[in-house]
Amino acid sequence: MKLEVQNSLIKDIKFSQTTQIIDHVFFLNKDEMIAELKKIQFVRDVKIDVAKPGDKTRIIPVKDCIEPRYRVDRPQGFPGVTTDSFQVGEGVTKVMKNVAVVTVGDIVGFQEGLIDMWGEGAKWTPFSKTLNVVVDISVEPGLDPHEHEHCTCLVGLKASEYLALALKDAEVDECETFELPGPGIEQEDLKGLPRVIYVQMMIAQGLLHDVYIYGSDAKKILPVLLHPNEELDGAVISGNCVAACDKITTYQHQNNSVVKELYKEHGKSLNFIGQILVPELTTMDGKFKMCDYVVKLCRMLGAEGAVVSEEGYGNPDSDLVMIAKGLEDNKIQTVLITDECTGWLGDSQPLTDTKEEAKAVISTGNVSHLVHLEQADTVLGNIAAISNIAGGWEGSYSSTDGSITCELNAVIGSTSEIGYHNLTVRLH
Amino acid sequence: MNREWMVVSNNPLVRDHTSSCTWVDGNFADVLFKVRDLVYDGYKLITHPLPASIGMFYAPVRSIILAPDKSPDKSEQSMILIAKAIDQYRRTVRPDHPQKGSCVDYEMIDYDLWQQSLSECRRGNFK
Amino acid sequence: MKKVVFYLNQFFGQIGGEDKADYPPHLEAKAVGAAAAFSKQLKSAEVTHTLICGDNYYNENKDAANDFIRSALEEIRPDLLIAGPAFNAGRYGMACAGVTELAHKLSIPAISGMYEENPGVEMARKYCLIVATADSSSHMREALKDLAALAQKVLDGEDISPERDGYLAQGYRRTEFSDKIGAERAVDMLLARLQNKPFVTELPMPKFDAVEPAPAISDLSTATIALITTGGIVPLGNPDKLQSASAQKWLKYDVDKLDQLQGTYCTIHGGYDPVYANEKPDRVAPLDLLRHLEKTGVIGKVYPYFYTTTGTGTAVANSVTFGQEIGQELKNAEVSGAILTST
Repeated sequence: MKLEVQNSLIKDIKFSQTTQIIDHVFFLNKDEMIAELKKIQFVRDVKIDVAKPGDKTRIIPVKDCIEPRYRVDRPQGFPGVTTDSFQVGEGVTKVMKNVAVVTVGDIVGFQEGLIDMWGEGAKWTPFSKTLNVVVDISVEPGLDPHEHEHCTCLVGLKASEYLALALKDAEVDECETFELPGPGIEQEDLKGLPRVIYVQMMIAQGLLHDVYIYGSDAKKILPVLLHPNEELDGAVISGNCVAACDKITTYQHQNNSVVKELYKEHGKSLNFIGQILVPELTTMDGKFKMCDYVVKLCRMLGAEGAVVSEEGYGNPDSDLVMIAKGLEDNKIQTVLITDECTGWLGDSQPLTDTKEEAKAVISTGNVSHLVHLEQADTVLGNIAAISNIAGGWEGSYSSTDGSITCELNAVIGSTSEIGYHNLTVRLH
Repeated sequence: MNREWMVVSNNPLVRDHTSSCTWVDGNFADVLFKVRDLVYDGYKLITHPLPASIGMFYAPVRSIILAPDKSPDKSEQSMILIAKAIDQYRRTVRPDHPQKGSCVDYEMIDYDLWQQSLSECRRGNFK
Repeated sequence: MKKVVFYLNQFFGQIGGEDKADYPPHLEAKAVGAAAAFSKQLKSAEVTHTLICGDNYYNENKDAANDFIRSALEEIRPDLLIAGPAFNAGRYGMACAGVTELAHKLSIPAISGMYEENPGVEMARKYCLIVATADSSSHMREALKDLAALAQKVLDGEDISPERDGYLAQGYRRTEFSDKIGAERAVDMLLARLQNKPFVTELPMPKFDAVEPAPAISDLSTATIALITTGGIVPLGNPDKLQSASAQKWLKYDVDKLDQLQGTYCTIHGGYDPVYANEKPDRVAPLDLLRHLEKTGVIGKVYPYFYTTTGTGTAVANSVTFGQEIGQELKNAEVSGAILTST
């Protein structure tokens, strides 16, 4: 399978009468976009704003981030979600680089995190570096929360599809090629290189705790083998909305950093044989079953090494260390990626569950690390949500100077467990 | 569905939808304590005691499914797990953390997660 | 010129040996002994004062010693306090721990030097940086050099880390920015593993000592049961001077004639509110209930000796030794089982 990703680098966004890309500037017809999104069932109103790196702008509460992409001579959209299902991962895909659709909207009364585009806050989230098209969604009153979630999700994905149409005739600045033969195919130049698999865990537990693979609800499946190009080409979307710091947004699925890093070494120091997606379930029995199943798949594929990434914290810690034990017991060398919760001082136990087999671990930060964020000039989304962020507390929001002191918990993508951001933890 | 299973909960929405609820008149931590006591009295954890996301760590309600334990090994596993869960919960949730938004929303999400756990159990138990 | 105050015990402060261990605290407005050798290695700072105190005096009269030291530090307001190096000397290490805790409370940065198994390490690590030294004072020169290097960095406000600067980690896990994203570090670590190269995990799993449980007692009614506590329960007046924290010893007392501890025992434990334990020490070490079980025939008999120590702040290494020693005694006495209570 071979995927060619063609990047069109965008340097600025401007509102205009016509949606198009001219000379690295993306012109957006806001009214046309709003009209398009309002066609979606249950949408009452949509507001569009742009937040650029350096703006004193805070976006809250963020639901998802999505990268606009256009498949050349292939169907558009997210298979099984915004359109009928079809095979992705093979062909040419154009990417609007440096641009993200960021959706905001209250689904329930307690809300998760924020993106700051400037200053201290910008350091902690990867989404302060993108030109963000912020889509604020209101739905028809009286909507059932499942329908509400579904609707917000669709609006975000459709918004990225609308933007992506401008890529059709856009100039290409750079190309990346992703090609793997697949684990079953012998290839001379890969012989002798260690066979490495990527095991990606994902929250699959219920409302606001979901993920979809070709539109299939991940909590209803066994672990599944994927060609890594499929995730890069839009096969996986996020339905997870209450774990700001360590959920994997759709954008991060499209740009999965572990997949990209393994690709960099593929054919040089390792043989990247594929990717397994593992649902993190709620029941202990489910956890045991998923763990055994993943280990078995890795053995069947002849893996010698594995990178395992977690999503969320709390009960998934158990899945993580069980998988580590299962793989190490079968002589598959494993590296885990997780974040930790060691309290404000950083002096508590990092994980809920531990096993000595989890001997090689990357830590992407302490979710309870405190950050101080100064007042924003502009708040996109819901101002009231600020005093209610998870990771804050009574007095977290200062009404006198508008600043916030909160835990990293509240910052989108700060401790990404697919290692998308550059935080780590060191013992002092 | 196994009839011996029960849910330990402080969520009225869960209580009102099942006859097998051990009601806890208290907060999230009290649910964990009740579960710990039951685990020492011969029950095992069917669902993990903690949520998977920061949002639900701060929920005022929690529902955890238990069943009578027939094998001695597993109960030790449950004892260790619930002890670690209580520890992690205390570290994560500060006592002065305000309740986020309306309780009704938390109850609704917790109810949904409980429902999903039940259907997970059904799928995993063919009989 | 920045000011440094140096704390030394009677030996390194050139007062005398073990016979001078009761020497009360004393302040010299100059760098004495090891402090002088240290001071020469600093740039833009010097040791202006040396505090000297006997190890026994400090540990047995901690409040009085601290009062003296506190007023000295408040008056001098040094930029840094150095205590030690104590190598593997336990009482000196404990004194360094006490003095650095005091400095910490006064917001004066402090550095000590100890051998990593010195019991003072556990007490001091949250309050000061502890340079890892060898276990004996024959390595004074190296220790002073390391102390001076770290001291200079602290005085200059430089970034320090346990690996680079050779001090024992304080136990704080800090979130920092890396020059590589997490995914890249993960792949690097995996490649190191696959190529059998060394790697360092970013999140070490806690290590727990697993103790194989003894076989179950088949017949309690003939069993001899011993009572042990780490709750600091001692006879009234603490005749054998058990430490209220960071125990250096365990003790045993004949309780064969007693029906309960109430009335003749109390707690000297420094880690919990003693009111309820002093009212009835059996609440911590339930001799009364064991006697009851003995009388009703549930157990055979209560072992005549009661074992006690203090758990709070006690170094793991010490606890392991205590456990092995007590365990051996009980085994030799053919005790069938023991109840060990903690607080």
